[in-house]
Amino acid sequence: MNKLIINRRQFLKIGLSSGALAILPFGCVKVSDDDFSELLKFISDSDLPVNHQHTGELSNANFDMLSTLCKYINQAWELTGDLDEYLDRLKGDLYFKTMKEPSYLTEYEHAIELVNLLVKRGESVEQAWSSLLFATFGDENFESTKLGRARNFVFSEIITHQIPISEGFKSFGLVNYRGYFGGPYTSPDSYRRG
Amino acid sequence: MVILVDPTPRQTAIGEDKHNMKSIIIIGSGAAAALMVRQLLKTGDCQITMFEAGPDFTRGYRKWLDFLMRENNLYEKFWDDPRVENEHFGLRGSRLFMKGGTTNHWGGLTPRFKPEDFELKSRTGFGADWSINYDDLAPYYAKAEILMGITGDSNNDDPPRYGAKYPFPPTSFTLGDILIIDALKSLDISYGHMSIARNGDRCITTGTCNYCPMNARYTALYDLEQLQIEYGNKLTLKTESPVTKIRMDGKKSARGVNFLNLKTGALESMEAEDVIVCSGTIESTKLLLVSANQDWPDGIGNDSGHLGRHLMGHPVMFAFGVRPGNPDKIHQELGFDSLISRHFDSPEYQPKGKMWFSGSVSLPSSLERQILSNVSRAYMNAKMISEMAISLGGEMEQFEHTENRVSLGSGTTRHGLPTTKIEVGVHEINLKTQREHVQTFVKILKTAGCKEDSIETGALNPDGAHASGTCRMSISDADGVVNTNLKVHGTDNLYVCSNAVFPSIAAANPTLTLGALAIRLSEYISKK
Repeated sequence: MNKLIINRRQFLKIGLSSGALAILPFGCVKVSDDDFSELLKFISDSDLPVNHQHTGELSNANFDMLSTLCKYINQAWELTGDLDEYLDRLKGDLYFKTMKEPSYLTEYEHAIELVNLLVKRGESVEQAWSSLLFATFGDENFESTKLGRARNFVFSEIITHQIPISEGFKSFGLVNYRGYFGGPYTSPDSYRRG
Repeated sequence: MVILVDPTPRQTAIGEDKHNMKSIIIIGSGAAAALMVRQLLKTGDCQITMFEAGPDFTRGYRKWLDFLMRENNLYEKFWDDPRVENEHFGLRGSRLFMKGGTTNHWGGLTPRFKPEDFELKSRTGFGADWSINYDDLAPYYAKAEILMGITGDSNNDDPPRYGAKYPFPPTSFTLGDILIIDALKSLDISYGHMSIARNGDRCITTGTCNYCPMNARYTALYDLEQLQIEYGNKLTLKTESPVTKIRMDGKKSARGVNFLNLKTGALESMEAEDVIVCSGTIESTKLLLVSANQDWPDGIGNDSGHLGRHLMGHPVMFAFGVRPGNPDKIHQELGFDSLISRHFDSPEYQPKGKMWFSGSVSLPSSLERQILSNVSRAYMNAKMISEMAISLGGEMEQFEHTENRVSLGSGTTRHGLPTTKIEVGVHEINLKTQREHVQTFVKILKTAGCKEDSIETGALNPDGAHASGTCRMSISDADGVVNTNLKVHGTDNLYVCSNAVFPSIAAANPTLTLGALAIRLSEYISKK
């Protein structure tokens, strides 16, 4: 039996006390024991995406489900920017990720299966994302499981893409960010000068 | 595994159907090679064949996406064999075996050496003087700055520019730079704009400089791609073709090379009128050593015993600290260094080991990392204005020691080349200065407002990225391996163009100086 715990490790890293749970957007994260077997199913410990030679286009339904991650992040972290415009760009970029090797198609499909699993059990999409992103499991082989790989290859990559490309960083008052095309360095708009 | 199926190399000659064209072999495809090829093809009627041990590298939008989303190291598979490590002088991760060489992951920092750097022995008693001086190289520095698309401050005459303009203006200082500059001013430490290989017509400040989607950062890879299009019939680039031996015709004349075709496993050979070794310090040295023959029993150019000796690099120092308060949410928005201090890169500090440094200011953690750690927006907002991280990093001059050397290892690398043996000692003179420089960083950070207990420091040994000195330039063949024109002493048509020819390494990054030497050599060969 795997034990579900709330992850405080990252908080301690940034100097928070164990009593600082108020900073969590969604308090406690719950996953029922029944879901463990699917979430923690061993997939692969390879650094390459699973079935990386299997190329193809992500279906519209699958992309729509994956895009709920961006909606969740946008809402929970109050990012500004045109989300619809961003999702068009994301769709185009995921096309490159699935149609060219190493293809991410199977990794995306596995990740979507996890969201569907939790939604089917009655969680809202937001609850499902909260669980999938932040629940912590005491499994030493977690990185090789379906959820571990989804976090590594799918969720963190998409969020890293979303912050600059959706211009979400601008809601924090920043002018440029890694991955954003800020314009020529001679342009006064490309970064803040001293 | 490479299988030598043909002990007698299959011979081809370049330019067989190109009468009256000078045939040139260039070994390597990094900055020196690309800049030489550009100048040779532009100014002379020649046929060039380049040999690169590593593979080609196909760029594209997908690679940029992976680099953005995964922040992975795109170039790890082109690193050195892990067996070559030396605790005082590492190679793995510092240089790349691929088309374009190490420029694929370089930072692009391009300060010139200063006049005193060419006179180390005369001024300090350490190492050796160059057989050329700053003024000899100044016009070639200016040409290299144009060809590499350098941005910099044309009004800064330290070192003297003699009116030469950078092709692109300097980047303005960032908000974070100003915080560091304020500290430097109060400590009376001079500073200026970084000169850096970022083409101002292409750069879009996306911050993914290690894989620039716009080719704004100079790379020999992109330069060679353009040259292959421009001069297709005069330029052949053979990737996965490590050169295993320089073939000599008697003692003086280089006849050509033997090389492995890694795609077929065959040993082949090629002849040419001139052979130029541009394989970086380590591989250039090893190639001359492994090419020993009855006329050169200890390696070509090694009658004096200097080949492989005097290995130098740049020890690195760094420090970072946390400064309370960040109401402007200052963050590293430019993505590359815009500030440099060469205050300690001056004649006064030369006897101890000169140093330059740069600095930057950033948020303590990236936005995506905080989100992935489930930190709330409210907390992120509060954290962003509560503190900032200030970091300083620099490189210092390492003095050469005869016993620091590169030689042939006993094994074979995946490219079918001999492994590298490195012998490097620990020298107190540089260690002492390194500690002093680190303490200078601490002082700057404290002056900039960093909390004392937050400051952390570190130092790294030199590595293969700036390895230099093992085929050093000298007037007399008793003192080095190549002459002032980079021709191997005692030969008529064999040249080395790499950091290996540097008699001293200075504090500044070496690539611009190497580029200037490459352009100078190409003019010499064109006029020959």
